[in-house]
Amino acid sequence: MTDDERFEQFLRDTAADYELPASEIPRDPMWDAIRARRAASTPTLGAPAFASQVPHLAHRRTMRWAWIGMAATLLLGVAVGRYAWRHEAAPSVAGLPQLATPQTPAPQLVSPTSSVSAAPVAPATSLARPDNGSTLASARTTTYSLVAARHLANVEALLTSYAVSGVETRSDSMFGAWAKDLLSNTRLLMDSPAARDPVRARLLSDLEVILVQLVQRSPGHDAEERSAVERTLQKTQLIPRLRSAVPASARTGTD
Amino acid sequence: MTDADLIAGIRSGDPRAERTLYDRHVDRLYRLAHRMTGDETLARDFTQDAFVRAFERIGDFRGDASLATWLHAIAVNVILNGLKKVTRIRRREEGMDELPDVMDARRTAEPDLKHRLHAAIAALPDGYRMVFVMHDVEGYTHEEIAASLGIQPGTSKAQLFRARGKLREALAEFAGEWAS
Repeated sequence: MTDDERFEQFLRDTAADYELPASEIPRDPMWDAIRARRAASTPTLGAPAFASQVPHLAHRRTMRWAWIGMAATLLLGVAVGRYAWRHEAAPSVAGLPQLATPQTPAPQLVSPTSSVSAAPVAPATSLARPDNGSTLASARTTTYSLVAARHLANVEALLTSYAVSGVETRSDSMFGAWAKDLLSNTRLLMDSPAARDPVRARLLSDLEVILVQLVQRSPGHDAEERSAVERTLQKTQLIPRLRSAVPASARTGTD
Repeated sequence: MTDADLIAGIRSGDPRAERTLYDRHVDRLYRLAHRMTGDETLARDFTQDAFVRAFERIGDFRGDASLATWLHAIAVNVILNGLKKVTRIRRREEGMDELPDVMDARRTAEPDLKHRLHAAIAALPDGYRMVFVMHDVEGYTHEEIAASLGIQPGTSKAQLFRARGKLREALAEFAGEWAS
């Protein structure tokens, strides 16, 4: 057990009775009070009984149209996506987002369909035209894996830059801005097929934590926050894990 | 009763459905309120407020999350807003410019480690204390905490990490106690 794990266990054990109610929970008295308040706020017999229901009815009508709109949008999106997959070539690596640097904003993750439309057809290397479910799923998985690899390379660049920087440079707001871009892409990947791989899912989850720490740093607590980031890096071993997860081709941008 | 039955019952004003929801969740919510306030009266008030609000707003429940998560989100909101009001009132009454921070816990003369830890927890900012109490003391998952606070699970983890870091600093002179 590491020192951190022993401290966490100590916290759980020692704080178990922190502000624990000393006496039995007063369930019935509280329920009586709740009922009394509800009765006091219920409309009397003299008031129009339907008035309290009208807002609910209006609310229900509004919600119904909202659901219809959302369902129509979803169906349209599925139809467009399926049309695009059937009629476009499979994605090639050349269409994937480029590596980000602190000087350039990290590109937003795009869906495979939009990257596919911009990608050139490479007959020797392209996947077979998706004409069945398994080939389609395989192509999408490959695309997400490639995008994830590029993203992890970007995060590795950030964390390595942070780790090798001097104390003064670590306080630079540049790291927060860089981390903010990477954080939104990390969260997108966590919700994508790229996170089906359990090892990558754990890595993305740990990356999210440290990126949040970098984004949330405030000017007045730099030493404490630097220390928290460094402890996270040490505890999670993120840099070595990133190095083993990112293929060399993703780092250099070549394939 | 399933959640769907409970919701339908509460919406139609069935008192048995309301009591069933209450019985299922009152212990956990009351304990959370008590741990956060350290005061029985406040814990009762906040627990009652949470249920009254939940019954009044049952028509807004959309089923995006479970009924338990939705109820806990209301309770957490009631507790945190209630604590802010209590803090403001106490500051006015006691003429305090700022409340003691976690560092003061380190400067007290209380030698007992457990008491020092409890004082450090009490001195945490409300948001960090809520995450710490929910996770490390009451056993909520990060997903439950995130849904209750309207944040991402990763943010909950980051806040817990910081809360633990602050507690560790407050107990710095006892470093090594937990190694044995």
